[in-house]
Formats: sequence, C-alpha cells, structure tokens
Amino acid sequence: MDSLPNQLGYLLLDEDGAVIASNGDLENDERIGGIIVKMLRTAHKQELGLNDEKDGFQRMTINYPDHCYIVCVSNKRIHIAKRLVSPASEVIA
Amino acid sequence: MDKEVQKCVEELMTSPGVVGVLCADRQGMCLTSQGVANSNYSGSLTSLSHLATTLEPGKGDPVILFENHESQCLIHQNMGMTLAVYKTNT
Repeated sequence: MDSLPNQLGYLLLDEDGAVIASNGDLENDERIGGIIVKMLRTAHKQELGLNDEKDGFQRMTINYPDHCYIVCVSNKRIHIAKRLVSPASEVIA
Repeated sequence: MDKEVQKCVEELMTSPGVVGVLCADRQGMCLTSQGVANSNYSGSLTSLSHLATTLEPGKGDPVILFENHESQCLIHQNMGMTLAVYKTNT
C-alpha cells in the first residue's frame, strides 16, 4: 500500500477502531481513525437513502482542496488512505 | 431567505444526474428536501458534516462523498447549513 502514487498516509483499523497498521501522515493517528469510525457508524445506521439498499455505500471520500481521505470497509477492516489531489489545471484555449 | 433557498434547490434539481437535494440547518432540522432525498436523514447528514469538520480543524469545510455502483451522495457544510446532493452515475 505504501507504493501508491500521491499517497500521503495509510491507516488500517479493525471494526472497533483499533489501529492494525499505519504509515506516513496517518502513522498511529487514532484521532482521525476515531472520527472516521464515528462517521462510518453514522452513515451505516441510516444508509443515507442511497439506491442500493443492500450495500449502502462502497466508498466514502472526504475532500479538501489539496488532499483527500478515501475510506473503504472490507472484511471487517477499515482502510483509510490520505492522498494528494492535484489542483485542477487551467484550460488554455 | 426561504424562497432563495427553494429557488437554488430547484435549480440544482435540474442539473444533469441530480436526483435529490436536501438542505438542513445547524441543528439538523430539514429546511427542504426534493427528489429521492428523505428528510429523515437530515440529522445524520448534518452530524456527518460536523464530524468531517473536526477531522482537520481550521482547514475549512470538506466535501464528503459517498459512492456505490449506481449513485453518489455529496455532503457539504457552509455557514452552518448542510447541503446534500444525490446523483446517479449514469
């Protein structure tokens, strides 16, 4: 997971929010892990009205202007990646 | 103000792919909901946007995006108001 391009950090949590693995900016960042676990629980409870009732959502992304957090849940583990977002390039006419 | 919000929401609903819009206040009270957006979710959506703001305090309000195969839900908080936009991928 370390070798993904533009990746600033990575956090792997179990379903209770305990850190299993981490690196980069998110190294042992239990604070961010805790907030994301709370967000997933809030989102899961309500399904948010997304069409596919069975699955709810597959991916949660939290976007800032220069970076983003991408969150996926797989096999009862929570994968969080912090990635750099390249600024939108200007279109030259 | 209500009319302006309503007008904005109706304008958003005409954008391509948009199937639902919800607007909620700071306390999670639903101000308006259209299309597939259900006013029952306004509390959760507000709570999610508050939580996301605590992720990196001082860096502004992020945009939260939930995705599955067929739809997307974008949530953004601005000046205490939460806006959720539901879109289809097609």
